[in-house]
Amino acid sequence: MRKHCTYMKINSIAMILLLIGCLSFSLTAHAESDTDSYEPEPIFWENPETGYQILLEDDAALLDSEERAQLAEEMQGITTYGNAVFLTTTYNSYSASSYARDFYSDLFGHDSGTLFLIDMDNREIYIFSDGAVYRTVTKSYAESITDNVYSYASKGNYYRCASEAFEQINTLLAGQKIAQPMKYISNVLLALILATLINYFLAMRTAGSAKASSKEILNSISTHFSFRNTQKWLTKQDKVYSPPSSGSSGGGHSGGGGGGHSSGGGGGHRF
Amino acid sequence: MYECPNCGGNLKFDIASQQLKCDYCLTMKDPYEVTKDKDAEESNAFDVTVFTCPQCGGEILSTDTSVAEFCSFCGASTILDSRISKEKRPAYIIPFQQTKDACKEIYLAKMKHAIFAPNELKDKKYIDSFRGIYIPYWAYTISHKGHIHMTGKKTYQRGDYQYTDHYGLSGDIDACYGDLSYDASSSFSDTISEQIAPFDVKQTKKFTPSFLSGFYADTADVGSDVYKDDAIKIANNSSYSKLKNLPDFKDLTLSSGSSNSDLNTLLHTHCDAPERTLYPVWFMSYRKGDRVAYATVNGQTGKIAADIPVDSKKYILGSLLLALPIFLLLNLFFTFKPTFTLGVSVVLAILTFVIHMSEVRKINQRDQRTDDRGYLFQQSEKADSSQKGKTSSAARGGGSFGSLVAVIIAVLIFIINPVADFWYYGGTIIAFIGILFTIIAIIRKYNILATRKLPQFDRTGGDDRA
Repeated sequence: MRKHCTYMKINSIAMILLLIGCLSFSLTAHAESDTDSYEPEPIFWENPETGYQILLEDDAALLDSEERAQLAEEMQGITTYGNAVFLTTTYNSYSASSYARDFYSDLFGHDSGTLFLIDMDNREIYIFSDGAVYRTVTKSYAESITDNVYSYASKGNYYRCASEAFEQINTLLAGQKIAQPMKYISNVLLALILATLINYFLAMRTAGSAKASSKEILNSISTHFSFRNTQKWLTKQDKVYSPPSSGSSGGGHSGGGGGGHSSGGGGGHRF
Repeated sequence: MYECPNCGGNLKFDIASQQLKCDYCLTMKDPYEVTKDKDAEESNAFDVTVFTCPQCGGEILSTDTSVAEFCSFCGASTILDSRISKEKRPAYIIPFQQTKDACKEIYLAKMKHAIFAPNELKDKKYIDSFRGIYIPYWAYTISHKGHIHMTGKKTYQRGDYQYTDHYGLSGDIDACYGDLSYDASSSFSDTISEQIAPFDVKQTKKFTPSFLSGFYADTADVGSDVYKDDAIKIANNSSYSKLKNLPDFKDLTLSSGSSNSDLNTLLHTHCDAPERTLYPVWFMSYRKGDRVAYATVNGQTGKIAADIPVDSKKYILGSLLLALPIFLLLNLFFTFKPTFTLGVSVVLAILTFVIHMSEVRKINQRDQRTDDRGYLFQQSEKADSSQKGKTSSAARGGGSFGSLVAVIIAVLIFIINPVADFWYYGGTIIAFIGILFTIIAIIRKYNILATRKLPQFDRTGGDDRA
């Protein structure tokens, strides 16, 4: 037994040494790679009047320091209504919407605010909003805004893309209108197609004539029906054991759903 | 011709008074008092002038001896041969009750609702020809009489057990369906006949040839057995439905089969020998230039059947106007992404393709009259195979091409999955053009059917002033 314990102790020490060795190697490697890639520091600012915050976390290093400072300044207007986050990432194993939602919730819970994500892994931009801001920057508006600015991201102009997005968010929060070409083009095309089909059914309905039904035909002729000496007798009765299914009858309460706080939402666009 | 006893003028049936009336001295006579040949009445036949076209052999009947100048069937402008003949005497007739003026009003009222009809077809002055023609019908009387025995069952749950009670059921049925009518003229389309039906057969009168004075009659050339099963089916289904709804049987599931032959056995179905009858139909043509529309009106009830052409320009304009409120409505509630818009367009393009296939099949059926059993009966009698395999003018053309191309392009866009919106907008625009192209193609086919020249709509003669 004692011999076994000593053997275990030697094994543990060897494992720890191996781990230390691996860690020191990886740290060295990381330090070496840092010299190759630029990883900007997050920018954080808090509006002293409202307490809402700005966060710029450019993990994908898409903006230079001047652009980040400029963008942070442009985002300040949003803090009148809620938090504002600019986020970029190069690795995302989930969807852009999940990533944006999780990131915002981890930081601010369900507090009012908006997040603009540039997801380089999924090649998608996404706006997530929550709280009071979400009541203005709805899913529809988020989709419209991302549709308005995705072309800048496609051309690699990420600063312009984010800047325009936050500007349009700010415009909406200030109670003004933004251009929604996607909405109008889609609705015009759908309206034309639907009108074409509805009018076709209308044209065919008014152009043709319906055939007489059996009921109409029977009403127009002389009919007589009588059934006398009716007899009905029970010949046999089958009885099968069939208890009411507990699962299917169920009934009762449907088990409540969701409820509580609405968890925000948003929309995005590939680029 | 029925001579006026007062002045010797021509007595014609007057719809308003339901009497024979002399146009010259206004003498009125009861149709049953004026008979040309009592013997004929007794011998189950009556004298009639049969007009025959020397070109196509088409025949129509009239009690008038005046010569018809144009063939009703082929449109030949040769003077028709006429001969006096004895035709089988119909048992009953429904005299015309709707006047020509009333028919015009009915027609114009229908045209008012036809918002896509060409404007010129709504102009009163172009309603040119109305022909009152008595169409021969077979009137079937179906009876169910005898003792019925059948079984039924009822299933219910009590506690942990499911019970099924089996019952024996019996009773004496006595039912009758009088004068179920089907047109006996092969030149009168079944579709039109079903559309202007029903005639109120409770108002039939015993036939006398004087009712025909001033009108034409079509010849009965369809066998009496052709529609027998249809009449039996209506009667069987009605009696079976009433049987199932009897208070004693209502909660039971009857175990008898519901096919026509099963019901014939169960209900002791009997069909009397069908009666020959004549029912009144107004044939109207409405034409201006190359625009011709046709309509038939039930001469008793005023029920109208008309295939009204659709003006493509009006249709497109109407669609543009309708698109406006739909656009505003969509804007109120929806913001669609271009991918979604294209997806919806594809679904609607597929729907249009399906509509096209279904409509063209129906149009072809009507054009070639493959659903007209009276016509098919006559064709088989003539053993005329020359019509078979012919492609009609309405059947030609590939209108489904538009929506099909739209679907293919949209699917390709979805497969390529481009980022830029304009691809999806472009795909949706192509889908819209494809759908429009397909629908216009259906409308064109329909218009060929609605405006073509049908022999039965082109009767000449008769009393246009009726």
